[in-house]
Amino acid sequence: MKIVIDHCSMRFRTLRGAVDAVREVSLEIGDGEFFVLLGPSGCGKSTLLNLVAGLEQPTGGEIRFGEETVAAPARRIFRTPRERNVAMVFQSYALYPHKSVFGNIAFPLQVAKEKTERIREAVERTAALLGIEDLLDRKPGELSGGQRQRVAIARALVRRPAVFLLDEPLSNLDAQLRAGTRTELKRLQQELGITTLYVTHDQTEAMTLGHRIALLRQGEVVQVGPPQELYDHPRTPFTATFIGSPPMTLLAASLERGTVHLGAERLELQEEAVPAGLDGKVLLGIRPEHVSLTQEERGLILTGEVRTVEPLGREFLLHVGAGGGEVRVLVAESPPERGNKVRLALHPGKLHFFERE
Amino acid sequence: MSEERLRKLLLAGGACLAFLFCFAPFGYMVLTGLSVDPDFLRPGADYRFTLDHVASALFSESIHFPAYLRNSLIVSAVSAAVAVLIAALAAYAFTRLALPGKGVILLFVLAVSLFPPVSLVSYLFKAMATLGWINTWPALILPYVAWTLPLSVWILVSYFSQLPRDLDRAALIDGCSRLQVLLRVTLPVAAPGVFSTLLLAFIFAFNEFLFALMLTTDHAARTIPVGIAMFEGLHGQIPWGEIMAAATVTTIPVVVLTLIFQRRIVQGLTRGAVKE
Repeated sequence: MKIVIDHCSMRFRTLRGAVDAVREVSLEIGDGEFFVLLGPSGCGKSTLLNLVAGLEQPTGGEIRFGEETVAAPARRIFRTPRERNVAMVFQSYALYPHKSVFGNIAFPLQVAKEKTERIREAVERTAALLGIEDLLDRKPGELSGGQRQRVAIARALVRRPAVFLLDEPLSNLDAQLRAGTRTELKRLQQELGITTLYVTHDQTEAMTLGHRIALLRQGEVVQVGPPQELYDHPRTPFTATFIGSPPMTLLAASLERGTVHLGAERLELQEEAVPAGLDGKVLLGIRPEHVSLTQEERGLILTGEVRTVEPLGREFLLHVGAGGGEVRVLVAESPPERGNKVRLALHPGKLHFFERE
Repeated sequence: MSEERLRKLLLAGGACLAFLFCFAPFGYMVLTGLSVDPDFLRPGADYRFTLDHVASALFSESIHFPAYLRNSLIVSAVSAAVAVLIAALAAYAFTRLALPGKGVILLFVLAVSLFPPVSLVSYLFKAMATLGWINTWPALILPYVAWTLPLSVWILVSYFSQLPRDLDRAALIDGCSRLQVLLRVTLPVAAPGVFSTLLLAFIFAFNEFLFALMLTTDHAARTIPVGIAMFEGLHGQIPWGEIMAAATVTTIPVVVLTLIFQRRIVQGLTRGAVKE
């Protein structure tokens, strides 16, 4: 099912005035796509998901499922969740505490008045898919967090929804379980091919899961694209720092005819590295993995002093005071000690430039 | 004596006093009902056990106790059920729907229950007389529903507002209408609250005296509290033995109901619903 979100807005009226949770967002989600809505808390991503689910009515714009318009306030069209055939997994799991695991998974089918025999088959098949067939008699209160999450996913998948919605489904799991469930979600989505909308604030989840990511901030879409594109070609400083871990370093600089002035230091850019249409005040961005320690004197070199060393296991993250700010550097082995003077080589071609107000 | 022991002793002593204070009238009632002579505490009197009063209260034609009991049970059960049904719908609307002026309406509901019943009863009598309902069950059920509704709404609002919203949202996504959400998810999950509200409404209607006194005339609709108060002996004397025996028997339904519902009123039914 293809989903089109067309200039969609959501304004909440509260006692303290109106809040624009979603501002004129336009997105197209392809049939069978795993689409991630990513952003910090309060960016409107969950509200957008609720709009698609039909739990909230938009105050402007349109939402279409395939050819069918499911929400268009201007034309007074609104389809309830039951008419949209959507399924949703909540961050809190939201299992029915008075029903057994079987009762929870069977519930959407029971509401749809399916035949008892068909319900039993569907529940058992879905439970087997998620490896919870042994838990069908238990109550939600007797399950661990990971098991509850599986039950919630099974309940969502049991009736073969047209659209699968997930609202931060992994954020209540511990780190180890999260990574495993993440892989499994990806596998499930690939197997079932259901159009999936996934909300998260965790960029790692977004990067690993999504075919495409929409990065949101204050109710607006900042950038949309495949994970690698957002990583390689961030169009704003916000995208640059939100995607990637450890995050990109941003340094205030000024650009004059191919020369970057960074505090007292000057970097001469090669011709092809000079950004088009940018001059004057800029932000220079460089990812920690694109900076290395060097003895060279030529090239894009900054000198500075090591302020902190963080061992990450596989590598070390250095924070180096250089270029009028703090540069993050990833080194594989034998890091210099705190207080050491170091020379940093910035990889040409891996520099990002953004406008600075 | 250590502070710990003193504390335990005070606690036990306090508990005994509280128990005696609450239980003594009840005990006195039971003993009087089972005594040949109601004045058994008089100096020199001795206590002689008998079931005569109980038998006479239950089976004597002129006392009509079974009719009173039947009236009481029907009137109380119906008014409690109707009140809780309406209150559940109202509480769902108050806690889940976008309702303008919720707080004001809730306060208004509470304000309604502030009227002293005695100020309403004369008007109620006229209303029921006009309707021709005097001495019928609806004459009592209607005011009882109205009277218990504010309390029921408030109790259920507080219960419903504790239930996680995500449960409602999940049920809506799973294809429920709003009414189905209420019936299939909210009410079962809020069962402890629903049952305690039912019990409170029932006990209220079961104990009510003033309306029942004014709006009924004989055993066709008269409830137990009024019925017992109207017991009269053959020569106009007050038959304490029968009164106490009837009162004792009357407590049984309430005790039984409480025991049945008590198992339902345990907390923690939402355990496992959502990750807090």
